[in-house]
Amino acid sequence: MKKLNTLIILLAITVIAYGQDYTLAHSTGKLIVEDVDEVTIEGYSGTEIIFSGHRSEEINERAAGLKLINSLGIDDNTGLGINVKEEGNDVHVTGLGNSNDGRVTIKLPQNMDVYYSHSDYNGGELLIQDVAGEIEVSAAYNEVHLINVTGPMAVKSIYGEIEAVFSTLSQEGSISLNSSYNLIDVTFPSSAGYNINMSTPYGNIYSDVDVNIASGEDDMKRISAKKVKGTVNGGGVEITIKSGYENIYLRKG
Amino acid sequence: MSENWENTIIDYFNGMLSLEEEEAMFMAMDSDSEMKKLYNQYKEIESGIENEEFQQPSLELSHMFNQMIEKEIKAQKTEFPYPYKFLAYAASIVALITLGIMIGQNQLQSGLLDAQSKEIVGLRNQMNALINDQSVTNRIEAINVAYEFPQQDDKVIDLLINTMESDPSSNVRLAAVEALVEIPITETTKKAIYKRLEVEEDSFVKIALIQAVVKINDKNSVHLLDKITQDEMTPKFIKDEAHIAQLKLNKT
Repeated sequence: MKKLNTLIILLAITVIAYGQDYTLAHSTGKLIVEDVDEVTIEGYSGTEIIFSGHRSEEINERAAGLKLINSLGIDDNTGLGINVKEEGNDVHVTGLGNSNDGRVTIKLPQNMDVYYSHSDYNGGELLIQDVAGEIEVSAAYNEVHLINVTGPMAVKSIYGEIEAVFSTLSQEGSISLNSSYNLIDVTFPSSAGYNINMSTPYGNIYSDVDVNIASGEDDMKRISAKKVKGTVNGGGVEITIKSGYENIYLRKG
Repeated sequence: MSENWENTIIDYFNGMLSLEEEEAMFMAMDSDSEMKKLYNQYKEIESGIENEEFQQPSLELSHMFNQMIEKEIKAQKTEFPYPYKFLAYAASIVALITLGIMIGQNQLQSGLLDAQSKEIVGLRNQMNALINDQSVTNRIEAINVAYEFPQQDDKVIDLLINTMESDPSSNVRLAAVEALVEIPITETTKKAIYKRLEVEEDSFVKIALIQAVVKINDKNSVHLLDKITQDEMTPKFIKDEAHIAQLKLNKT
């Protein structure tokens, strides 16, 4: 009898997945994304922010007449398992636990700034592409992939690898890429000028870029397999790449 | 030139001016040769004092000196013997030559120090302009300027500590922690890092602080790491970092 009851409850929970869009007319300031799993943030030349993805809608008879709640006191106002709210010049996007199914894609005007943070192990892959504004990432487990970006940016992930391919290199601000326990793989345009500071106490540094190693006050060059500081193409914007325990790969595009 | 500038110059050498006041003083000096002259005179005095090396005499030398003084006192009662007279003349000549060399060196250094002071003021201004910027990457750029200072600068250390303690961005706080242990580590830096280690909530920054403790290499800080390894709420990977740090500190 107990088994039969369980079966009836399971049958009562039906899963329907469907695609959906949510649009917001907003083209300035910063997009702040917090605790959204598996997300793509993509810049484009439009003036709206477009959220899309697949929503897993559980029809749970036990929850009939009730609504999904959380400690933040916010609810899903998009149908995508995320809450979107405009605050002044910025737009806040907050993930609501496990209510979204698959990847959420956010298309935004490409000059908007982006801030992404994720604090637990469900983060999955964060993909940011074609964004020309300032990017800040503070993640715990996310793999961070940055494609066709320009900087400036400050990115850190404790456990995730960081891969970045720059289309051009902005000389505004600075670029810092940090991973405690994973690799960092970066490609800059071959003609870009920058000052670079790389270190990995327990990994190796691999590169096909001609780095002019900096001299100390005594005119001696510091050559080390764990720490490289120098200039490329005469120098320029400050770039810091640090991995705690893994390799660093610096490539020319 | 007004008398106020003289007071300003004195305050500058006593380290009592704000960055804005320092900048105003250097700007005024560019068009006021009298003020520049006065500034250089104070600088000569200041650098003469700074460059003077005081050495503690050995016990043997002290003993010999005391003996010589006693003999001098006795000699005052009698006629000055010939060898001592000669030594007194020789000592006077050596003292005059030394003084001449010191003044020459001071004048040479004065120009160099002037350029260095301007460089320091320029770097401080650059840091201050960027550190309050809304942009996270500009604030990190401000921290990168700290590596360019030619010598230890307390105002820079204070600014880095303040950033480590209060910047809302964990990326900026991380950059501040890393900079604080790359430039000469002071007692103030140590205390600030130990204090921050107890309250920092961002895991990445906390790991950087643990690694900073290893770099400081102070065995008295082991108890701070013990607290982390014994705290039930702390994530395992942070405890592991603290444990590795304990091993490294105990090994040295």
